[in-house]
Amino acid sequence: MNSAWSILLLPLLAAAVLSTRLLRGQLAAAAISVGTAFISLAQALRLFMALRADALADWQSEPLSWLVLPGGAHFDVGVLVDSPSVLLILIVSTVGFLVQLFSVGYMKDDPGIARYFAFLSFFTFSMLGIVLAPNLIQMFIFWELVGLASYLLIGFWFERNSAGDAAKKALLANRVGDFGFMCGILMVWAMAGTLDFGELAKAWPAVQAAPAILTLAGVLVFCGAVGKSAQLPLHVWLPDAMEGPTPVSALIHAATMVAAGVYMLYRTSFLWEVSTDAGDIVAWIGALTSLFAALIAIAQRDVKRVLAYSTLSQLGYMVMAVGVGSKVSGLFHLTTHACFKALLFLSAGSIIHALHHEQDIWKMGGLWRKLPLTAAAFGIGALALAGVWPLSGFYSKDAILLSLVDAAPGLFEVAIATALLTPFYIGRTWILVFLGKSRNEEATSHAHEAPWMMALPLVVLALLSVVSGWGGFVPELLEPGVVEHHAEGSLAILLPALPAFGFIAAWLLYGQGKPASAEADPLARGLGAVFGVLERRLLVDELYEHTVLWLQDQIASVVDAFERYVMGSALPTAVGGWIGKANRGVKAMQSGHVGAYLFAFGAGAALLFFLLVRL
Amino acid sequence: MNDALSWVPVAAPLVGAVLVAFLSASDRFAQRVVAVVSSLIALGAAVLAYISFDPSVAGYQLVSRFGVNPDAPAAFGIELGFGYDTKSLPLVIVANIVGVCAFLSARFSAQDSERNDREHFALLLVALASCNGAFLSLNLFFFFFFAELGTLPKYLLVARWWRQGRELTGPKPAAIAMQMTLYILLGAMAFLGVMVLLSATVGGSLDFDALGKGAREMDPELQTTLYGILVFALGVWSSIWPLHAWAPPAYATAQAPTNMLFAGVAKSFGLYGLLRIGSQVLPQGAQALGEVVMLFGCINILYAGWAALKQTDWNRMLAYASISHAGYTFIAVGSGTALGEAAAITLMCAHGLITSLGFLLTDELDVTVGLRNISRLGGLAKTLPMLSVAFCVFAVAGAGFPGTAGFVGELMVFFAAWGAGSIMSQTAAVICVFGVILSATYVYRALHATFFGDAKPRAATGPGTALSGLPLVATVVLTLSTVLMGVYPRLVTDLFQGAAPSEEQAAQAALAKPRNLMALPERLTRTVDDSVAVADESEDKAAAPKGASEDKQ
Repeated sequence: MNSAWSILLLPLLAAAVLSTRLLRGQLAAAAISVGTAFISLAQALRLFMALRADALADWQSEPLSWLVLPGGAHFDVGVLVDSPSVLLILIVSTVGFLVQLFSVGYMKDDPGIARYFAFLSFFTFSMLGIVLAPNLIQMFIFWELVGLASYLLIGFWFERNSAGDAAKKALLANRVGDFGFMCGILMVWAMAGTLDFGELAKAWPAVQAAPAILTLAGVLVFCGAVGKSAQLPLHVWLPDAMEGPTPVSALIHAATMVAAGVYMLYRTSFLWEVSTDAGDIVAWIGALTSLFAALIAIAQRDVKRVLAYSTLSQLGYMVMAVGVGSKVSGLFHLTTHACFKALLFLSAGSIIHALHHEQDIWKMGGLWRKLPLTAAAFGIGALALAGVWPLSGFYSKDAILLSLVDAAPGLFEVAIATALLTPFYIGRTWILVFLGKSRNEEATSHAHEAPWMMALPLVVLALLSVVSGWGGFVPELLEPGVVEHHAEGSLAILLPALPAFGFIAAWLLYGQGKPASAEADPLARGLGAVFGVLERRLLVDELYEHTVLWLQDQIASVVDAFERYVMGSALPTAVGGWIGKANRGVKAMQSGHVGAYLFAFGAGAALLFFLLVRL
Repeated sequence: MNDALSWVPVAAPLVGAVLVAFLSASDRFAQRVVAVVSSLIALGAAVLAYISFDPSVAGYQLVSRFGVNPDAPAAFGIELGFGYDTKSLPLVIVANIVGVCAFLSARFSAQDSERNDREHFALLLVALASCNGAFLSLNLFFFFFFAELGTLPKYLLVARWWRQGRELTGPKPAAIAMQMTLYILLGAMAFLGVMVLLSATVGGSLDFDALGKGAREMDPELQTTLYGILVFALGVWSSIWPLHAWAPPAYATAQAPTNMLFAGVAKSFGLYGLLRIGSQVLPQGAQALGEVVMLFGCINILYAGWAALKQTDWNRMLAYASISHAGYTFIAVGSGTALGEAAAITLMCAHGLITSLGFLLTDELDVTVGLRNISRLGGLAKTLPMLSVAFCVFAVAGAGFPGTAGFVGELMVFFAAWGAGSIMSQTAAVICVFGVILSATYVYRALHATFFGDAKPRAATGPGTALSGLPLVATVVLTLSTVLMGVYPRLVTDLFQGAAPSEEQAAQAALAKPRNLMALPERLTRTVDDSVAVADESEDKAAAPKGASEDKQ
């Protein structure tokens, strides 16, 4: 079926079918979901072929009218098929299919597997809705639905307090971001009179408004991306989101949902082109996020948390790129990152599965003998993440770093610092997990490689992590004919050498030194109190707890007390007393409450009659 | 002239009430059948009216009038008549969907109870008739009459049919019902005063249309005064701050069917009345006070939203949620545009469905577990999977996620408030958007405390079985209605397309206005006196952005 609608609606159909069988049919559920994901992948590949053959016109459809408002404003729901959306569809369906396949093995003993696949399919539907959105309203609708799907999957093991809390935190942090997003949408609508991406790109440069207003609109729209792509200061939900099943982290919290923010910034790039101030703010938020997250990552001991902070850091790169106007390199890095970060997460899932849900890297060690395939897969992911030539990460990171050279001063330096930290923390993790001796014989002695449906996704993703940067494939797809920039002079030597510094540092500290336990972590001893602060995530959660949440609680307490003692008690008593006094005489004649009421009603009617006659 | 479709929704529940009263007290099955059938007839009539309604024609359609003699005007202009327009049609449909669900899910009281189910059903049917009558009346007096018709059943239902076996803390149900009734009577008195004044100054028929024609020459200041009184007189019904205090204890006391009909539907009387009188009778007054109404809407959203965060009783939390949502509708009404009117109606419909679903479910929780105290519940999802799924669905709707009716209503309010284009309305729009964070916070806080995490001692299943049979049917009906309206909102919003020419022009003006509105800093630096001169301002605005763009270059 040559319609982009089929791509959008197929996962919804799967989710609906699975929901009706929500409480039973374990393997059937897996089959339905994985089968649908496979058809989606096939459709995505056909769509991609059509793009290469310049035959996308066959896949276009007229938008449907969703809401028509009095006064002429109308919001449509449609499918926008162009090169960025095809690229994203390809990513979502490829990673989505591999993750679903992996999940069959990973989740096979879980009684809620049908619910799991229903949620996963619902997530895919929502994500594709964002990707295909031709206007900001549709994007906002699916934006919220993606947040809901993420909430459901983070809280999948709802009987755990920590999972429920993490899910709620993710939902509310996203809502805070969406508050700004919606305000931004309202401003854009009011100024440009349309919310359609195509029309906006034309209308926005012609908008007459003060620069500060244009900047404000841009920053408010960016708030949506701050929430969804977990940028400072709303990043706090993503590390906690690791409470969800690990394949979910791979798909949603590494490859797709968190990348939606970057995709949205790509779609709304007219905002940053018109207001460079807004672009600078975006770039700096991205830069700070990338640096802070990388710093926190070097002190984490949960393998998934390391990867979560690494994701924050890499998303910071992408946001930075879009902010300085290099949106293509942002989407390029999004693509390669989706491959290697999904690979890293699924490898972590494979480790966690083998060790029966042990996630502490200080309780692992020497696993490469037991899990050679996983060790190789994680290693390839780590090299790609660090940006080692000729893996995919090298090319996309290079593209971003080069775009920063001429940007606002400081950004390039921050990005280089992050690029040095990245190989260090991922090298540290790989060494502690796979090399040396086991630090927990009990957990690691029974470890063995996973079945084929978990191994196959690792192999495919490892392959993609190597090749997806080659030949400038993504930039060529997005902007055909644009000449690729290459590093020249000293940069041509510096950039490829960056990862080496980080890896060597990691090797010196952890490979050679072979610390025996977390207490012997040379970094912790070297950094002292600073390490403690990094380990506790720079105390941002604590800061929020004692400021924003505290303030909200105080306000609510004051309102509640006022409500309880003034509105709910003093006022009615006063009013009641006054009415009671007024009616004391007649109340005596009544037998009960009903009568009192009837009297009041009768008195009212009498008053009406009296007044009407008099007038 | 008399179209049955407009009077049947009023008559059917009243006839049903009489029939139920003649049934045997012990034949509870028959009582429920009569109640459900008569509300289904009302719903059927409303749906048929929806099908035959022509949105391109302005004013009332499918009108029926009784005892009207064109040659001799009725005494005091009190004429009985019913009819549909774009304001009443969606609300009547929602009222009857809620009505059917209320009768389906109503619980029979214990066998030895002194409160019999026959009266329970009869009173609820009268309440439904009151809802339909108030929405459909063509006449100011009968709007008031039908709205007040519900007050007596409401008092009795709260005072006598509170769910037995509940732990009672604080005031007795009768005292709570009395307090509620006094508040509403206070509003009713003020409303009566306005009606009398209108009758005295305008004269003739009290029909909304006739009053509107007569009020055209009325002094604008008098219009403003009258509308100002109405905001509070009608605000009491719709729980405007600070006259909302009757609602939380009443909703925490009553059973689900009562709450569904009163919190879900009858609570809209006030806002509906403001909308109708404001647009048809006192347009100048409504325009002058639009910003005041919006201000109170903002207070409602924030104040009740924060209060909801601290509630430990599910029903009290829902009550504050409902008060908070009334704030959105106040803002939509205050915006004074055609879009605002459409947004208000849409949001009232959404609120009716979602609030009813909420109260239905909290009653199920109460019956099943034996309490609904959030702080004492926990981890129920394992023992009550069906009920927790239903609550999750409610939370999605209650927090206004897309795909539910609440999202559509709120989205329309955002655009209406922002598009109205004054500083007050745009501030209100921002507060509305902020309110969505608040609503997600209180709904999900309660949801998680009740169903997820560790089980608490009281989490063991209580005497009842969770969510099956007729309450489940009612839950599904309400959920599907909410989702249908959320996925395909044009079912409702297409009604608002064919407004009268004058309104259309106003709407176009409202749409054109915001394009030049964004020179905010410059607007903010202006004195209050300047912003009062609305007409001058729009001319200034056209000039302002040019200067701003020159700065930029």
